Amino acid sequence: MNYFVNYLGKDRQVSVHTRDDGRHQVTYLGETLIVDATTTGDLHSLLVGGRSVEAQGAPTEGPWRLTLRGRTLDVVVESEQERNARALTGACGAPRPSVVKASMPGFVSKVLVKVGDRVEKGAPVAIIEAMKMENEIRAESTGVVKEIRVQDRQTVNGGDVLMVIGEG
Amino acid sequence: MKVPIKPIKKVLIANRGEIALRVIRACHVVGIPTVAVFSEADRSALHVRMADEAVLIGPPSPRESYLVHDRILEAAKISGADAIHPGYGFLSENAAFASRCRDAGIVFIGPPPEAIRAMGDKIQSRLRMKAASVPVVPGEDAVNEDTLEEAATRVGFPLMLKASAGGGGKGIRIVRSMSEIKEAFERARAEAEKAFGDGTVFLERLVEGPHHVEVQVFGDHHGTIVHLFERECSVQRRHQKVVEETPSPFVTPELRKRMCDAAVAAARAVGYVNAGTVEFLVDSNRDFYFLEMNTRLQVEHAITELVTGIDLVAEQLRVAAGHPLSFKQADVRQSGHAIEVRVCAEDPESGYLPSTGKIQELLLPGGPHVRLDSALYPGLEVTPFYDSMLAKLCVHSASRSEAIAVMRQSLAELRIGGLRTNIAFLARILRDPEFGSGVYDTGLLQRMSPPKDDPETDRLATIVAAVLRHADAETSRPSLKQNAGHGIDAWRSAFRHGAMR
Repeated sequence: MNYFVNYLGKDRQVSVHTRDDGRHQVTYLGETLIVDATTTGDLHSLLVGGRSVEAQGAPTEGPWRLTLRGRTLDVVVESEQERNARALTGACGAPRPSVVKASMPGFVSKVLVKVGDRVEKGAPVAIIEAMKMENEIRAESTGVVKEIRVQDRQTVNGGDVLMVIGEG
Repeated sequence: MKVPIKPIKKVLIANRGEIALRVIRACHVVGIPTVAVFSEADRSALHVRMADEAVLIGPPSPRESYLVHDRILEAAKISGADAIHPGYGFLSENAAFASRCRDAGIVFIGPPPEAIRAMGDKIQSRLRMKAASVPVVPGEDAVNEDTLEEAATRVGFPLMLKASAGGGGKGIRIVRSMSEIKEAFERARAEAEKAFGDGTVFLERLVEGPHHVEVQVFGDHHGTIVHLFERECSVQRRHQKVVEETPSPFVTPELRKRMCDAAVAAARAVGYVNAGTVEFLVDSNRDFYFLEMNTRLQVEHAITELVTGIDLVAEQLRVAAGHPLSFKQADVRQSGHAIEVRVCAEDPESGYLPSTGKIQELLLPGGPHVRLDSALYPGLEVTPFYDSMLAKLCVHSASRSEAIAVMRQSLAELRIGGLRTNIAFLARILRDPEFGSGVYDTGLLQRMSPPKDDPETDRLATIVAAVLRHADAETSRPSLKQNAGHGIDAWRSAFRHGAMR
């Protein structure tokens, strides 16, 4: 299977095939090597061509966080099929509205925007209090606030949708 | 003052997390039974399981449990505890609680309430320090609208407006010119009023590029006060310490002597008893100024224990029972170099947002020279109710460079699965050239450069990302081959085993 690994704005092409023995045959930059992976939760031990690499991360569709060798990267890994499918829907469908989620459980101490406000990517939109700290939740895309689903002083769980941001 | 020696029979620990374990261990080692208190969120916490008894004191929010004087005193009464150790944070610097313990005939394992009160008020403590010839930052006590501009002229710019009742960075404003001062004053006063119920504000000259160096002190009920040397705490983010070390690589022997003497004088000026810490700012000319006194055991006490060989918590118990200090000033020596890092459930890549969740796996560092204080275990649910500190990792070696090397290795070994942590960020600090040089001030973290690109990490990251995504997709959409479930895993491991031979 062919994959596109994207981080820091750059695409890299890798092919991965799982062999009968459960190990993976990987081709990257013209080099083919065998990779053995074992996993407990989000901690992984990999032997990459015999080299021992420890990694942390929970792979998923869309962006996920990978930590290894002291580096932390936000990666997107797409198979060739996923990328082709996305190219198709992207070409026909309207841009999807994006949601702002609570990145942690806590208490909404303040919602900083109201429906109809225009927000820039990275702008603070709400403050959640957790672990004695006030934490700014930021918009992940530029757009207009379409819907707000929480109120001040409300308790939220990690992953709860706080608001929806759509195209102007 | 002669205090009769009254052995402590049972200690209640009014805290949670690693510090509760630290105190429970010290008590059990000297044969004193312990009582834990816990909130509804902490039923499975290690402090509950390690103590001899445990009392539920309320809902998860600290305001309804760990901070409620009545609940804790009642727990002491029910369990027959005759002493309370407050740990750090929570009620540790609460003079009213210390007084209530005294009134209830319970030993508060810490300083007398009068000393807590004297150091809690910043203006009062400044005055007492000046009287005791302890250098303070040039400044002006309590100002109002009318005296503000005149006082600011005397102090000079840049200056800081600070809340007298302050702490934790609240009610502090930096002012660089006269034109900003009126508005800054109003805001500092409003913030102080809101946070502490006391809008008293004073002025201090801003010490630019300061080093934050503190001195551990210890007093007993027989009038002896000693110091246990300094800790360098300049690696800070928003006034929160991240890395501490001792001895300070910035402090010269001559400066050390003067600072330690000043710290003892500061403690003596308020009749200090038990463990405490005098915090100083040191400027680039190595002039130092009293900042505040922390009237409790500090988070970072462990590195002092490592270089002096003195068990501070055991000493706290002894002193609280009325015994004289078990050592003399001349017995206290700094041996080798110790470093602590604070491992936190927070994500440095996303603005240090706290991270919560269940700890899935835990791999701990080991080997010589390593000390880990934590209350972690696989399965622990890290909740949003309490501090984000997960563990204190300390190392102790013959020299600073060796200690840094051991800490780098230990951070590489430490893995906490299921949460985002600052471990990679801590490792970056330990590799930073400015930190390595030993001459760094509180601006270090702001100046620290982003991690460098390294082609080999880049190559491995790409391969690992693709393999993990591929393996995950395979397990979540099982193909025919994997329908055998457990069987295939066993077969796979057998094959791997075979391949190794």
